[in-house]
Amino acid sequence: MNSKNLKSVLIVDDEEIEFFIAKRILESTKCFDSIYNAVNGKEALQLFKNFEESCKVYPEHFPPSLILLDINMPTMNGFEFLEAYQNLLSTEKIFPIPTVIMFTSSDEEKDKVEARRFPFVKDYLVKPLNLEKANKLAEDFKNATNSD
Amino acid sequence: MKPVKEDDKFKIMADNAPVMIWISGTDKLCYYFNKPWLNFTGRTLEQEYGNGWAEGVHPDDMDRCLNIYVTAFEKEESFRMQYRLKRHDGEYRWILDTGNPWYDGEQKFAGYAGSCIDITEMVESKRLLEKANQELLEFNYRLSHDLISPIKTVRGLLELSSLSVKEEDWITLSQCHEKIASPIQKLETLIHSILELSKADYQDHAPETIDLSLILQNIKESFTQKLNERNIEFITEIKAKTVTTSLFRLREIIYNVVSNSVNFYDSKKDKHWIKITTNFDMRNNLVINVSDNGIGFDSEFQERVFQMFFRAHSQQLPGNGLGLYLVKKHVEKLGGAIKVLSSRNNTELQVIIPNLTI
Repeated sequence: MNSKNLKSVLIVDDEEIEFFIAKRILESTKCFDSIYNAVNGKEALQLFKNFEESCKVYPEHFPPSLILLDINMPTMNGFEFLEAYQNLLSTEKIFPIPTVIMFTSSDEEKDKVEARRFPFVKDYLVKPLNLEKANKLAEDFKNATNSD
Repeated sequence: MKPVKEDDKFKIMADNAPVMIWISGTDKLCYYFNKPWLNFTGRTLEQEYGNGWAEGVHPDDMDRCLNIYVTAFEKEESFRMQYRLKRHDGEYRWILDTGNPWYDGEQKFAGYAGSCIDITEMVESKRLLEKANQELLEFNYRLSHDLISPIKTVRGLLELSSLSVKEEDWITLSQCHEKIASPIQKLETLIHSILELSKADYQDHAPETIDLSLILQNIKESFTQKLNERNIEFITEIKAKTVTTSLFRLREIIYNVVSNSVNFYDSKKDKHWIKITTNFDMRNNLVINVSDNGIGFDSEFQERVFQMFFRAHSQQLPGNGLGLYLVKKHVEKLGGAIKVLSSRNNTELQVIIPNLTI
């Protein structure tokens, strides 16, 4: 079992404003201890590729309990990240495995279908975030961790 | 007028019809080809006889066609098939072949008669239409995303503003207020780019003789403020002085490439420069090289930078992924070409445009 009990959220989004909004609203739920940002899939993936290292460098928030993942991002988009992350889970020892929730402005059915292909993607959240959605997210997350 | 024999009538008709005709017997072998067929393949009747004609069919189409022919033959049914057939000049052309069983005077099955037309242009335009349609679908999807995305950001800021008021968090409220301009600006730039793209597609522009130093001076002036603020040196080396082409398109091409250089300058460097050279190549085409010492991009993106909505950098930097796509559209409309010569440690793009004066 992981020694830390802190609940942290990694928001993978290239929009600085989107991160600003999500961070502040999630803080209002008082459910998460640390909320931080990676600007694209590649940056997020790098953290997991160097798992041991990231745990040491960021003891206060790594590994995150939850990943909020945007879809449209330059360099490596959300789906490219999921593909690479899936491969990584099969080869690297990553524990505990963070829950991934899509967090995007796309309401397109084809994006939702694509996201469902990955078993570790637990939900699909369409922007904008508001306190109601954030509270539900926190609630679901609490229930999921309690039942583990 | 001398009466024409029945056999000759058929020959005159067959050899003057705008279609290629063949006839086969019950053994499936062809024993007749009309003149248009022989003219098309550039071969003699003896060469085409029997299965000889099959030598001209594209190897990739052979099995499929043979299968259709044999299957229809056994059931005495009509068939239609498309395949590539080698023309006398060696070029494969798409052919639409319609075959029908025919019966002799005693109504006994006697073989097949087929007529063929060259449908290469049709096949090609269908392919281009499908490609254009695919591109439009893609454009539509990406555009809806990029249009909705800043609107969602604004809505997010509004949600957060309400929350801040409720929590009496005036600092966050004031931050929301400050940040709201950026997504709106983004939306405005995007809509402007789309309008520019539609101009690239639909407007036709007569070629004129253009003074290159004048147009470069003009472009430099439109960036004066940014060049000064960022301390970017604008260097020109004009070896080709005039060119005859569309002024509108040429200006759009250079303007957008320079705009990229200005936007993606490397703020960490002390000195910044953008250099533009104009030359003529051996074929009298105008060659424009635009280089800069900006931040560049990964070399793996060298092809992708011209794709619609492709961005090599995060949202923190400007750009909506339409700039170089627009440039490429203009270049192609002028019958030219564009490529990346270098993308790291000095970025360099080369544009080649046909000069319409000989």
